[in-house]
Amino acid sequence: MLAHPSLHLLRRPMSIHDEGDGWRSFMVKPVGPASRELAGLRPGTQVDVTPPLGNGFPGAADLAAGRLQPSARPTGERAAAPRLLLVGGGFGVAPLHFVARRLDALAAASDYAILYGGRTARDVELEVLDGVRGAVLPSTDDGTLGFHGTCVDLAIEQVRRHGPAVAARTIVLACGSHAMMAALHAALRAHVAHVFVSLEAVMACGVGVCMGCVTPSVRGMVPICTEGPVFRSEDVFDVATEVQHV
Amino acid sequence: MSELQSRRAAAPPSQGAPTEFPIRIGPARFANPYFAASGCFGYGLEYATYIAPTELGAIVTKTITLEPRAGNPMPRLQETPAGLLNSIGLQNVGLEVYLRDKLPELLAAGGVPFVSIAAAELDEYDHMAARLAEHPGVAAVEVNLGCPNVDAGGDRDAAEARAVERITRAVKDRLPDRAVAVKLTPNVTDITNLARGAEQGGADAVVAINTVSGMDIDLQRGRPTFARVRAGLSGPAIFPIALLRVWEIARAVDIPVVAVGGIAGPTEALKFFMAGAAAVQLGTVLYSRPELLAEVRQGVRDFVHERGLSHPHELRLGPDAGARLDRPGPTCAPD
Repeated sequence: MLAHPSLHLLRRPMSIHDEGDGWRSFMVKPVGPASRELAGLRPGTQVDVTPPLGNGFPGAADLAAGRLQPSARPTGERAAAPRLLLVGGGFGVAPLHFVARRLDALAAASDYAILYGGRTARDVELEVLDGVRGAVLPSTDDGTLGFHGTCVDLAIEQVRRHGPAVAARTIVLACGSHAMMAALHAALRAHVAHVFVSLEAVMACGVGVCMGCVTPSVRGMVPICTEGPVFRSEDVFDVATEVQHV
Repeated sequence: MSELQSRRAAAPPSQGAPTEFPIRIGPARFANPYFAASGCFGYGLEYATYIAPTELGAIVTKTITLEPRAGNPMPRLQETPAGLLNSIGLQNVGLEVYLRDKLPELLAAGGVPFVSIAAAELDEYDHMAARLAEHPGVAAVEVNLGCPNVDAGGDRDAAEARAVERITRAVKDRLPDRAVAVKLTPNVTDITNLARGAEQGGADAVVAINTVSGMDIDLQRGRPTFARVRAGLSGPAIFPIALLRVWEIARAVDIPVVAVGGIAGPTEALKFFMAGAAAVQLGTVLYSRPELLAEVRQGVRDFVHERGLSHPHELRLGPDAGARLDRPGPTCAPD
């Protein structure tokens, strides 16, 4: 979480886009005054950061080997040589780039593709994925770049195209709007081995204290900051709830 | 005379907190006057990476209810200029899980639990207080009478001084050998009535203030941001409101006042002590700056010692300090 340099009270939870020796990069969508200010920082600016908090996507080595805890609701074979679909809606692509860089750092090449969706070509900044070794498949709602449709449509198309045998060893990692991830879960969970989603919420403390960022889950109303932000999709989307999401 | 005493020469409290300006609230002693505010420090260990629980004079827990509560719908938070609106709805593990799991953990870590409780009925307060009394590790109890985010037992009920008195008495009767503090809502015309109610009910201290009621509207959706419409404002934005309430209460009752609301550094803590606070609570600021506790302690220590004083209580302004405010001042008639 990044401390804001000016008068904003709360830190902002941001996933890491990339990191190297002494630096980290973040993708900050300018939606309000605080995020606009963060987005306006020059590269190289020092920002006070609390350590990575909560649970991220599974580690690259485990993903590449399909070495994941079996799902409570297994639907596929154990993914021995998994195919990884990294599905990012807009700025949600940031942590997927991070995962891709980790996969690329492994000795053996991983079978993965990044599906990167936006409303229009302007929303899909392919340069943020420069250098990744996996396939990059853009999609736009208006068809101005890549696949014509949402990244969820594209993910469904990808799973269909490769058939049930590949689907059964497919692991989906997703980050985007709540509606996008819910749609992805509804469409694909039954057909693939695992679906992991990274949830977003306004956060205050980041350590599970304030209970401001909760999501309904199989473990009750849990803080996204400590129990997530990455969850198995069935743990958060198959739960009956009256809770609204933004 | 205030019940509160500087105890510099006295033996340090049994708990492990560093002794610095120790204070007494009713039958309980605290190693220092810096507490974590309810709702901002969990059950005491969540922030252990940043603040050892022993650094705090006491940790006021997330408010505990008799039964577990799932809390309010999302969204629950909205940042405002220098403030934070919340509508959490007292999500908590419930009394029995707290006593079984959370309380022993904090005690084992050397923390001093100041257990915040809320209930919908007098019987429920009685029952909760009786259960807490069975646990000698519970140093103190804070009765949360000012939460704007629940139906029963929220701040609307607390707006009656007699209700405050009854609830306070029910809890204190069960906990004669512990400190019982009553946290008051600022969302009333005259908070001193509530403070007097707490005092008459046997409270050992009052805590002021709870969050200030507010709301927000989601422009895009064209509806109130929070499902319950009302939410509670905290953070630096409410400090002047809290300071006035602490000032007023300190002049209306003889029991100690624990000040809370908008501390963002040593400055606010010092002003609370000048207004008459016996202890201060840090809340919302810890979310983004847990290191602030150390800054507050250092700043208060320096200020007190630079003036040749031995305890921040000596900073309390005398009865004449506000006198000129009571005299008719120059009128602001238009030219």
